[in-house]
Amino acid sequence: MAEQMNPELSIWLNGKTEILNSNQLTELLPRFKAPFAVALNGCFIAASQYPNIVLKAGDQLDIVSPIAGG
Amino acid sequence: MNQDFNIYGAKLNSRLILGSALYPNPALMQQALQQSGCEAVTLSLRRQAPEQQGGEQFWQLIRDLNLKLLPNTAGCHSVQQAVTLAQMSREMFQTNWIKLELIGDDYNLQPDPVLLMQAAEQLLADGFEVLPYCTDDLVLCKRLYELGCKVLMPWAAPIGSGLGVLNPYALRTLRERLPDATLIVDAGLGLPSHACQVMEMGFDGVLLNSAVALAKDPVLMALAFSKAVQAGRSAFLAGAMPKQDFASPSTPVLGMPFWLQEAP
Repeated sequence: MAEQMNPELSIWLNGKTEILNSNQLTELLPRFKAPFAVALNGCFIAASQYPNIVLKAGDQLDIVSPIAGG
Repeated sequence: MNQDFNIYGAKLNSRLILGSALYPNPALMQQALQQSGCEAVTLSLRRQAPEQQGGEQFWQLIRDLNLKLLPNTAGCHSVQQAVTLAQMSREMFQTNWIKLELIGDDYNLQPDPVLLMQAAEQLLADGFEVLPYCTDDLVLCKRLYELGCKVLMPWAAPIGSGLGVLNPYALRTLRERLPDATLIVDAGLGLPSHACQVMEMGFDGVLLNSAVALAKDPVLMALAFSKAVQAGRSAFLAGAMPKQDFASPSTPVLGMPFWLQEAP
């Protein structure tokens, strides 16, 4: 069976379902504005690890940025 | 209870720490923070929504103020959430400080003491300088301090309530029993007099947000709190007179006119 070049991948991105064309975290990140920090399935992902992250179906990805707080 | 105010060794000249939320607009937030003279500000992290503007403006304003940043874990209900958010904050804000908030009750936002201990232990082991937002419970505060939390942030009243000190006995007891801990009253203060009250007790500092941000004039209220904190600290250092249940004239009695030693 021929392997799909860009298999669609469904993940949870900031709490919403998102269909991706790539399983590489680094290909998703450019749509977000710096600065941000990342958690995958509830665990912190250091910026230095971004190139190593391969996303799987059902992953929960959180991308956060600074906001006001008390 | 030395006279320098420091957070994990970082000296601060102002004993007032302000939050950055709930101001009518970013410009007023900036002015209030500047007017207060505070040197540290709390902030947080939330999911980024690329379609929404404004996040970058907030971050730029905060950076322009050049204050020390105290990120919080507000809204976390589990140890895992708090630890992850703390780790994200450390990378984002380049600080080991974390205002550890773990909510145990959604009605009064009371901290969960059990989860607080567990999260504090993990974060301290991971190199964080933990400032736990906690209740005024003596035993909890002792445990957190013994764990390695050099700075504790007991509440005066529930977050955003503005009720002032609900249990002065508990706060006085904390101060007396933990003389070497840095104690910052956090949450529940509504008036400058509340801040002055806890500073008179010998607390090292005050952290507040709503009382300034929700005032009709946040900038003026920030100044008022700044003065109250200074006044309370000076009063604590000066040492209050002893209380007594009877009157004692302040004007000398000796030499009082119209008084005769013997009846005419």
